[in-house]
Amino acid sequence: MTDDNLSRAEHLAGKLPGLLLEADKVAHTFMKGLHGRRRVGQGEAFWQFRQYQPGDQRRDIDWRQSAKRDETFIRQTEWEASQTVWLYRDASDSMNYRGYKNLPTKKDYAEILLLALGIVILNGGEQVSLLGTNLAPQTTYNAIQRLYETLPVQTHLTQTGRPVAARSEVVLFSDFFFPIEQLTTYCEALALRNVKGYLVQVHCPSEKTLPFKGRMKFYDIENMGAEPVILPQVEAVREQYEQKFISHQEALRAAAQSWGWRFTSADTSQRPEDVLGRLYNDLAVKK
Amino acid sequence: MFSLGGITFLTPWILAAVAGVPVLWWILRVMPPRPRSIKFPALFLLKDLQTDIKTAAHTPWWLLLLRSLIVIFFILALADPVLRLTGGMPGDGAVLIAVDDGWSAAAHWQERLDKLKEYVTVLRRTNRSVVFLPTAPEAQDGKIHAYGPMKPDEAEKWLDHLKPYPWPRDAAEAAHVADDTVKRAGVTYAVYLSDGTADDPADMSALFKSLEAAGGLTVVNDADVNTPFILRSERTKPGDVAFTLERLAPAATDQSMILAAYTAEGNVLDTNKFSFPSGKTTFSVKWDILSEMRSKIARFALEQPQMASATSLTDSQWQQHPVGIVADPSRKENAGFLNEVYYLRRALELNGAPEIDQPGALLEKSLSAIIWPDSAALTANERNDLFNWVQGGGFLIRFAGPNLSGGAEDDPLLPVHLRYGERAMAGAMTWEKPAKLGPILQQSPLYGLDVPKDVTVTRQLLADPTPEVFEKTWLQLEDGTPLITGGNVGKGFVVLIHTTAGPDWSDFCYSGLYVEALQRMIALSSGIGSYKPDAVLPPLLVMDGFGHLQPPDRKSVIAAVDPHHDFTPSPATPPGLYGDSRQFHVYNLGDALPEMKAVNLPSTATVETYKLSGEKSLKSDFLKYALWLLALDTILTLWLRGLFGSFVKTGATAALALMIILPQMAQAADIQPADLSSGIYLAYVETGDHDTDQVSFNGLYGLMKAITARTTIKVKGVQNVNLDTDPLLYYPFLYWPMTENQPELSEAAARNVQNYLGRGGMILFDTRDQQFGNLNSPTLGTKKLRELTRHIQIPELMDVQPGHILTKSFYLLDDFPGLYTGGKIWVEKEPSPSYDSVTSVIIGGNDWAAAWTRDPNDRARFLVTPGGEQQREMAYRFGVNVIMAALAGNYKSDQVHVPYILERMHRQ
Repeated sequence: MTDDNLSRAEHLAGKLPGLLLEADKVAHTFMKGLHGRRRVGQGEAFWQFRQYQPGDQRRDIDWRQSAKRDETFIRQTEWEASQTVWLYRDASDSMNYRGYKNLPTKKDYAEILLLALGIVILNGGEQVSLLGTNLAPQTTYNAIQRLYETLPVQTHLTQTGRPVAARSEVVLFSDFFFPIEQLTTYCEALALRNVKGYLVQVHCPSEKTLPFKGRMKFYDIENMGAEPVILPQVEAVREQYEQKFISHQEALRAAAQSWGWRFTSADTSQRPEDVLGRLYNDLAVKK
Repeated sequence: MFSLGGITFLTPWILAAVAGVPVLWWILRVMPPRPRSIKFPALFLLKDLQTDIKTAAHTPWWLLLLRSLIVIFFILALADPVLRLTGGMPGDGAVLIAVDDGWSAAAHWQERLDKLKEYVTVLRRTNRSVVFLPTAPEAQDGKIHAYGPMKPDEAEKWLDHLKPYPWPRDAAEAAHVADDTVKRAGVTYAVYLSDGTADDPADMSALFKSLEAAGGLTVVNDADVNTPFILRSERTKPGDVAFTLERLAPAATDQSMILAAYTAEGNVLDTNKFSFPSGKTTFSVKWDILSEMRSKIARFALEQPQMASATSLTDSQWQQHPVGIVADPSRKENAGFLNEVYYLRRALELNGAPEIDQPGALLEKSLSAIIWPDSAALTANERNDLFNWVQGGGFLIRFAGPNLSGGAEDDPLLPVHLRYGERAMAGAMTWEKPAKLGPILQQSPLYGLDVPKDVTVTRQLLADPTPEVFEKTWLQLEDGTPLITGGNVGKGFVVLIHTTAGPDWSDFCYSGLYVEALQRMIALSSGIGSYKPDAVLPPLLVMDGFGHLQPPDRKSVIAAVDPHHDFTPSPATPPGLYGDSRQFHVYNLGDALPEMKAVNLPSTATVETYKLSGEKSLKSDFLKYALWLLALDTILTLWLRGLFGSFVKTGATAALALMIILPQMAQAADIQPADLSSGIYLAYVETGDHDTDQVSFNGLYGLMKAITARTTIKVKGVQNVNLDTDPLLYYPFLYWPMTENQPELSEAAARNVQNYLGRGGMILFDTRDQQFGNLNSPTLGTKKLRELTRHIQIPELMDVQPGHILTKSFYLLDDFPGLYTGGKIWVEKEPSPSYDSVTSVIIGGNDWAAAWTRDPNDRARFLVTPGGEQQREMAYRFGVNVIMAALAGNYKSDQVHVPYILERMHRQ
C-alpha cells in the first residue's frame, strides 16, 4: 500500500467511527430521557416465559425455569413478534453540500440520524435493516456496527436488495430535491403492501433562506454540465424562492399523507437529538 | 506646450482624451461585474423563478473611481509630463561637452556626473546629439579623444564609464581635438565643465577659443564643487609625520577636515581632525602617531574629498617583512605560556601578525623570514624544502632545544657546527650557576641594543670552538660562549639562537632584548632579497582618481618607473606603488604637483554653476502609478468575485499551523553545544530529503527509548547534523542513510567527517536497499555511498565474523536485521587500538531506522519483513549493540579471556 493510500485510509477510518460515535452519543442523549419517562427496567434480556401449552415444541421448554416451579415453562423470545424498520439515506452528490463551514454536510447529518435511530430502535427490541442492501434484519445492539459498515453499499433508492416485508416500516432520509413524481412509484408500491413510511427531509438552512447577495451563477451540484442559473440579484428573488421551497415541502407532506405516511423536515443546524425524538415518537413500530 | 502646477506637458493634445473618462464611467457602470459562481443542490427550485430586476448589480462606485484614475494616469503619462522644464541650449545641431577629468576633478565628482546627466536629459528632450571631450589623456593610449556625436540614450550609458584620472588635464592637446571635432561633427554649441584649476594660461585660452568657435560656450564653474586639495608630505626626520595641505582658493570660514590613516586592508587606523583656517590656501598638519601604529599605516588620505592628490601612500618598513612561524596552526597550545610560538608571536605582534603554518604552506607564501622554533618537528621532506628555500636566498631564524640537541650532527641548516648534547648550567646534576648575557661586540649586527643584566640561561647548545665561530657570534654569554650565531647557507642566511624560544632553557624570552633582537634580525632579512635599486620599477598597485589602489590595468599604457628620474604623473606612470611585493617604492601624486592656479573664465562665455535645475520627466512615474492601481484593481476584482475567500482562509490556517509548529521545530534544532556535551545524543546526517530525515529522527528516537529502557545508558536526545556546518565531536554515533539526491560532500564536510572518523567517531552507513541486492552487486544506495565517501579515507573493510564485538556488546546476535534482513554488514578490518579497537564505520543496507521508528504514541510505524515483530526486536538489539560498542568500546571482547583468567586463578 502506498503511503498516500494509507494516509487516506487512515483519514477515512479516523472520520467514520467519529460518525458512529456521534450517532451513539445522539441516541443515548435521547434514550436517557426515554428511560425516565417510559420503559423503566427494560433490560437486555429479552425473553418471556409462558406456561407450556399443548402444541408447543418440546425443544422450547426451558428446563431450568420449569424445575424451579410446579408448572412447565417454555421460553419465548420477543423478537419473534418484532417488526423491522428499513432505513435509507440518499447518497447522491447533492447530499454532500453544506452552506456553512461550521455545519455538517447533509449526508453526514443524515447518517448520524440514521445510525442514532438504528441504535434506539435496536435498543427497543425491534429489527433494523438498510433499504436496498442485502443486510438481513438485525436485532442486537451490536448490530449497529454491521449497519454502519453496510451503509456505504446503500447508494440508490431503486436499487434491488432484500425485499421489504409487509407491515414493516421504512424511513427515508433525503433532501428530496427532485420532482415528487420520482418518489411516487416506489412509495406507492410499498404503501400498497401495507408498509408504513416516514419521509425525513434533511436540508441545509441556506437551502431554505438563500442567503446570497448580488449577481450569482448557480451550477447544479449533481450535473455540472447542465446550464447554470444566473440570477442578477439574488436578494430580489429570495422570498419567492422560500415560498417555492415551502410549497415543495407541502407537496411532499401531502404525498406522504396520501400513502398513509408521514413527513418531517430537519435542517442541519438543528440538534440531531431533537429530530430523533420527533422521529421516534411518530414511529409506527413503537405502538 | 501646456503647463499645469509646475508640470509641463510636451504632448498636450493627448490630454483631450481625459474628456473620454465620463464615457468610460458610464460603460463600466452598465456592464455588470462577473457573477460569483456556486454549486447548489436545490437548482430545480431556482430554475423558474420570475424576476423583474432587469439591470444587474452595479460595479461599486469606488471601483469605478479607481478605474477612472488608472485611465487618467495613463493619459497623463502619454502626454509627456516634465517637471521644472529648463530652457535648453541655443542652436539645433550637436553639442560639444568638454569635461575636466584630471586629478582635480575628483573633488565632488558625483555633482559633475549629475550635471552631465542633466545636460543629456535636456538634449534628449530637444533631440540633439552630443560629443564628449574629456580633457585629460586616456589611460588606454595616453591621448585625448572626442567621443561622438551620439544620441542622448547612448550618451547616458557612456557616462557610466567616465571617471577622473590621477593625472593632470592637457589643455593644449584638448584644444586641438576640440578644433577638429567642431569641424567634423557639426557642433553648434559647446559646454565646458571646469574643475576650477588652470594649466598654462596660453593653453587654457587656446582651449576656450576652440570651444567658443563652436557657436557659443557655457562654462560650468562653482566654488562649492571645485574644491581640490593637495596633500604634500613634508621632509622631516624619519619617523615623523607631517603634511602641507593646499587648497585652490581660500575659504570664507574655517573648514573642519579629517585626515585619516588607513591600513593596507583599507581600515581606518586613526584620524586627525583639524580646522583649515579661513583666508588661507595652505595649512601644515603635524601628527604624533605611536610608532608601532605607524608601521601598519599604508596611506594617509583626506576623508572628504577623496582624491588622488589628497592621498599619501607610505612605504612602511614592516609591511615588506612578512614573517612566518613554523608550527601546527590547528594546535590549541599555541596560546599557552609554555609554548614557544606564544612568545614569538607576542614579540612580532607589533609589526603585524606573523603567519603561523606548516612549512609547506609557509614556503608557498613570499615571506622575508621564517622562524623555526625547536618544538616544531619537521619531516625529512620538509627539512629538504626549507633547506632549498634558504639556499635560494631565504632568511631562517632558528631556535635550539631538545630536538636539535639530539640531531645537530649533520644538520645543514645551521650557521656553526654544534657539539652533541646540550650544556646545562643549573639543576640537580650540575654545580654551575645559570649564565648571564655578555656584551654585544661591535661587529655583531645586534650592536647597539641594550643587554639586560638579569637574563639568565640555564641550558644552551654549544658551538664547536673553531675560529670562524667568533666571527659569526652575534650575542654571547658572560663566559664567551655564543648565544646567537648567524651565517650564510647557500645564498640565504641562517640565524641560530642557542637556547629555546620559550622559557624552558632560559628567561631570554621575557626580556626586551628578545623582541628587539628578533626585530633587528627581521629587518636584516630585507638585505637578502633580489632588489636592485638601479633597475626600473614595474607598477605594482596604482591609484585611481579617488586615491584608491588597484592592480595596474594591463591593457593601458602603464610602464615601469625609473627611480633616477623625477616622477611625473601621467597615463604611463600614474601615482602608486612600483617595484615588487618585497621591495617597492611609493610615488605620490601630491608630491609631484605644482601649486594650483584658479582658472580665468573668458568674458564672452555664459557661466553656470553645478546646481541642478531639477528638470525631470514624470512619464515613468505616472506609468508606475497607473500600473500599481491596475494591480490593486485586479486584486479587488478577484475579491469581489469571491475568489479570495478560500485562499485567505487556507492561508490563515497554514500560517497558524506554522506558528504552532515552527517554535517546536526551532526548539528541536536549537540545542546549544553545552547541552550537547552534557549528555549522549544520537545523531543522524541530514539528507535533505524530508521523509528520510523524519524516519531517521523517529528511528533514533525509538532506539533511544529502547536503550534507555534496556540499559543503564541515558540518552538525552536525538539530533540532526549538517555535515557542512555542525561540529560532530559531540556525538558518539552517527546514522547516515543514503538517499538518491544527496549532494556530493563539500570539502568542509569531507574534512569534518574525516576528522570525526579519525578521532574515534562511529558512523553507521545505511544504504537502505537490502531488498534490492547486496554490496557485491552495487545497488543505487551502494553507488550513492561510494560517491559520497569518495573524498573520505575509509579504512579496509571486512564483513562481520562470528564473535565480532557487534555480536556481543550487549545482546548475543547472529545477524543484524532492520526493516529487511540478510546481507552482510561491513566493518573496519583493523580498527585503531587507540580507540579501543572499535570499528569506526558500519556499512549495511537493512534500513534500521525504519525498523526502529516509533510514532509519538509509541507504536511501530513500518512493517518489518519478513520476520515481523520478532525481527523488529532483533533490530532494536542490533541498535543497542551498536551504541554499546560505540560508547563502551570492546570491554565485552575482553570478557572472552575471562575463562582463562579464572582458570589460572584457580590453578594458583
